Amino acid sequence: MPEIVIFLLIKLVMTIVIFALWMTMVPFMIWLERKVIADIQIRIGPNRVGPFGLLQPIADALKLIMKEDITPAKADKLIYPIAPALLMVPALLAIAVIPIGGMVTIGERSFTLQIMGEYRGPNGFFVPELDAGILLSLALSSLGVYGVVLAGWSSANKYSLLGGMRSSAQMLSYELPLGVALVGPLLLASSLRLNEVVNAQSNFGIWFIIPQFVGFIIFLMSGTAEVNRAPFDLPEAEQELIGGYHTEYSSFRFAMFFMAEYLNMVTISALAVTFFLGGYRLFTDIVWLQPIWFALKLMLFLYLFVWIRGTWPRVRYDQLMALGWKVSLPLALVNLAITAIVLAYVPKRAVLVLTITSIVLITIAYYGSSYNIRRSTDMTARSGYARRHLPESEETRI
Amino acid sequence: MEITGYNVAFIAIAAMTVTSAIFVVTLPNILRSALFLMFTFIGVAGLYVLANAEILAAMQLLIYVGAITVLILFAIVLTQQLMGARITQTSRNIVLGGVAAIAVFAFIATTFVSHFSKGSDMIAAQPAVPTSDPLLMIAKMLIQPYVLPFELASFILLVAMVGAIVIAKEDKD
Amino acid sequence: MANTLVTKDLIPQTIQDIAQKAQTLEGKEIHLRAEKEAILHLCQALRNDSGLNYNFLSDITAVDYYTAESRFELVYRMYSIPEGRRLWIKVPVGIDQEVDTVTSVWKNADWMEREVFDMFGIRFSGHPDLRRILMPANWIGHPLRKDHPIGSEEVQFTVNTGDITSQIEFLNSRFEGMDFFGYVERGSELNTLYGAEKMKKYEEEGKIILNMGPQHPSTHGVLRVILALEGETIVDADLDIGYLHTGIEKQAEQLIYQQALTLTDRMDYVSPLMNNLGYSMSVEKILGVEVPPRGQYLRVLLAELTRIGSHLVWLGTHALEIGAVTVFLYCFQDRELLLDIFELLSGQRMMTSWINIGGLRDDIPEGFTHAVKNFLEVFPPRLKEYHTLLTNNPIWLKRTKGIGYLSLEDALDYGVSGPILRAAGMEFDVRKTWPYSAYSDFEFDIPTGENSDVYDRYLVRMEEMRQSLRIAEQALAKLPEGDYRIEDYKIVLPPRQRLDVSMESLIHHFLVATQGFLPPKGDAYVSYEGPRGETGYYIVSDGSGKPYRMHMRSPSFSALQSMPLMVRGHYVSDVISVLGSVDMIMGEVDR
Repeated sequence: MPEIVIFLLIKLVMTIVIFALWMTMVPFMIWLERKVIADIQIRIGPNRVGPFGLLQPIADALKLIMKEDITPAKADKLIYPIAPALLMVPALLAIAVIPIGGMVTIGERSFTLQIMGEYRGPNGFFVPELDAGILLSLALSSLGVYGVVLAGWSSANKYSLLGGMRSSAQMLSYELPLGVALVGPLLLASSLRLNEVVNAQSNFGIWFIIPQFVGFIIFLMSGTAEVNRAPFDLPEAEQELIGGYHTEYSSFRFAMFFMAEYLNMVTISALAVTFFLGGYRLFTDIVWLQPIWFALKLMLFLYLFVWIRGTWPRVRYDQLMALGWKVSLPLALVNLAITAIVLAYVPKRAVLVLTITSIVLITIAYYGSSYNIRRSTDMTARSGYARRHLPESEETRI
Repeated sequence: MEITGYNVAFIAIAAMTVTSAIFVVTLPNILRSALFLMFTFIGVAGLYVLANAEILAAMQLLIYVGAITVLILFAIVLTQQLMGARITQTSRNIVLGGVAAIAVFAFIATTFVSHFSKGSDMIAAQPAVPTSDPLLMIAKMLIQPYVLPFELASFILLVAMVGAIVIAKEDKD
Repeated sequence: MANTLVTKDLIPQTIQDIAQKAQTLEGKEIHLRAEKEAILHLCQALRNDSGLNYNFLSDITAVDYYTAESRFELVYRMYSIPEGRRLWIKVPVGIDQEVDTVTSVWKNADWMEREVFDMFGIRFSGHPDLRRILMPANWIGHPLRKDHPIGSEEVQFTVNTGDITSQIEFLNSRFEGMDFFGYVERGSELNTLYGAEKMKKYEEEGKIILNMGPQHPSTHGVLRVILALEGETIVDADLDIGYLHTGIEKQAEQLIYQQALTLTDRMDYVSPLMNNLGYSMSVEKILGVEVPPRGQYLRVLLAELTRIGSHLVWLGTHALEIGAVTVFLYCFQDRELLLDIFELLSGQRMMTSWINIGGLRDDIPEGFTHAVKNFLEVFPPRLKEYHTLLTNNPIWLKRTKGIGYLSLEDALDYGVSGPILRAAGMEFDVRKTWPYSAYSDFEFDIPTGENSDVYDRYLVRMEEMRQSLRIAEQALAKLPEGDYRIEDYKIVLPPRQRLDVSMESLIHHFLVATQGFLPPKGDAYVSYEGPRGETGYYIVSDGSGKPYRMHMRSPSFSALQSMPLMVRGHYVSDVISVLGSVDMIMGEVDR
């Protein structure tokens, strides 16, 4: 058998396994979200289908698929059906570049646990890791906009249209800070390959969350906005826009929107893990444990997403845009500039210097924003009775 | 032409690109045209990948597919759906448009033919394998020999942006 | 003075008269009767005279005295705030007569006059937009007229009213010899869809028209808001109400007083006990009875618990609409404690009907005090938790600060009361201004805001919950022994155990339960401070066992009218915050 066939077979198996794992993350994530939110809200959550209600998402999915697939009379007959796929496909493809484990060696062949990863066969057969891994991932995430804007447009419904426009504008705006925030770790790793970024973190002996804390915060914020999660879940703010761009969708097409959202959330979390939490590495270098470490770190972020959703109200559209363009992007650029300068002039002590500067930067940003809020709340500082009778602890905090 | 994986991939992607491009100019619905424009650009990105220019491909996706076409979609949706203005897909100036199209085609065709006459087989030509890290090469190119055009381009973009803001502002008052 | 008819010539003298009385205690509540030609000038004088300053139009309603010479009587009720002087004007109007509109004097007269037109068919000349408001646009007749047929007629739907004339013929044939529909007017020129003309104008200007509701998740039931947008900025808004109109005022006329009480539960359905209270006080005023102190204290206690419950619903839904789903569930968790208390009391969670004419239906049961004490203990820390979750939350601040501004002048002009008026800085609370029940015995403060935005309304309501807790604590601590209701068995049911031993009690029981009591002729208007503001009950008695007319002054009705003012210039998302801060209950708006 020629080496190329073995190579393709191995990649095929890996792809199927990773896709399967990723797709199982979706129902699991839905279950986790419902359980955690229920816990936050003093409820029980799903507990009827399967142990701990674990099979509830599957029951829900089945129910959704069984439903009638409705196309509104005035909808665009070509675009309306394919819009969910346009959202779903990039969400799936983005998985390909994320490494969930290091180099595995079987006999004379060794490869990384990454669909578009490195492969070494016998007789010098060598396929390198995709060069522009992270660029591809970002490019794919920007393709998701099409699904949203076209779904909104083709539904022939003003709420859908407004939701679609909002969502696409939001996704476009937050792509910039999202990308720029990742450049810091990339500079530190001096490579666009995700595996290199993970290795660089173990070489430095420190996770990039420490020297790139500002980048991490911006990435988290932009990532949340990019995948339309609370508190940035405006496109689907059901209190305002009913369901946003997917108002008219039903059955499996609706399920696809749902799945794409959760897939994107998992992907963003995976990127955060790779770039800021040392990827699949933890304690030991035993290869077969690495996917587990990766999964554990992933859970951390997924929990964070749910936690945020359970606690915060939703921001308004213009405020969201202002946050993206006036706060996140400048901050990300400043962070990038500082990182570049430090790496150019004090490469030996880069980590230490960057840690200090990121602490300084985040402090400034924190006080800046609280000053901003205080200035806008100054009006009520003079306010009447209700204000004066706040519980003491609240008074002092404003 | 022998059947290799490379050729099959090239023909498939090229076919997709060209077909979508034909749809872009022939479909009556302008929004669908925009959608096919996206497929065209994705096809072009695919061709870049085949030419071992992965970074260029990623850039193509990011900029042309992720930003420019979306902007076009935005403009269409905003004007057509929200403002109620009709945008026709066909041009009223068929003669002028035809002349322009033929001129562009003639230019490309002559370039193509002149290359063939030199004897180089463009389709069969294997892509150049870069000797060092392509990213590093691009970066060095941008910083050293092409720094002036690069900065000039960004300056023009800045001017365009400021101009756009000014126009939008004036419109409001 | 109450019986002389004020004519145009008498206006200056009347004003002088009132001005004199205003200095004394007599000026606290004045009744006038005025000629319909004089009403506009009289109102202008009352409003604009700086000494009188009747700046708050509480209510306009009407009564159909079917047999009287001039058939209708319009009732205007206005206050001077903050002095707290009240004034009634009754205006007799004949069947085909028109009355000058007072929309130029008070803006909220707009909807009120429309309601009167809708219900009684009285036309207001000069009204800018006289159309039906509660009934469907194609409804035939004016339902609160006494000759509007009740029962056994076909329900009017679009399907069966397609041919109006056949419908009228059918009904005329059915009630042969009675000219029920002699006055029927198709009124299509008046009954255009809400705001259609205005909105058409905006559409022609290239604005986007967005319809919100009546089936929209954040319109608190069935409110329809039509927005004219430029981008996402609101240029103008129009409201369409009446989707929850159940004809409670008409129904009440068919039931004896005690039965009509149960209808009041269904109006403001998140604070039923307060509705009971207002209705009972109004009937008691006609009856001229005084509830004993224990009853009064318990009424105060229950009313304040209801207020907390209502505010919890407000806080929960308000937060939910701004996206804080968790707060919603916390609030309902706490409200559950209150509902448990009400259930312990009455066996009902919502429609309790527990406050009754003459006092309460029964004394508090065993365990009630314990349950209330438990709530008073549990709730303050929870309230603090809500403050922690929202008060300083940057997103919450951004979403509520500076949103939905309503100036004090506009608020008074629109007859807005309750927390919204207080958030505008006016310290007006019926509990303090005209104390009812035993409120004068209690110590509590009235929170006010300054900025009159959504955030200040939030703070005011949050503080009101704390004040309610204070009152409830005092009521529980000072709860006197003695009767919980009056001992007049012609009005209240005799105790169950006496039925077995006393024939007289049995007869009383039979009479009260079947035909009710017969109050003297007269009318009464009592208002109380509901969770949403000044709520009033106007009851007219003709000496029979059933109310001749029952009318509720709904605070949300007025507040909602000012909503377009609050949202203009804001974004679509802010409509949600503003609606949340108005805290309307459609059951009471549409009645």
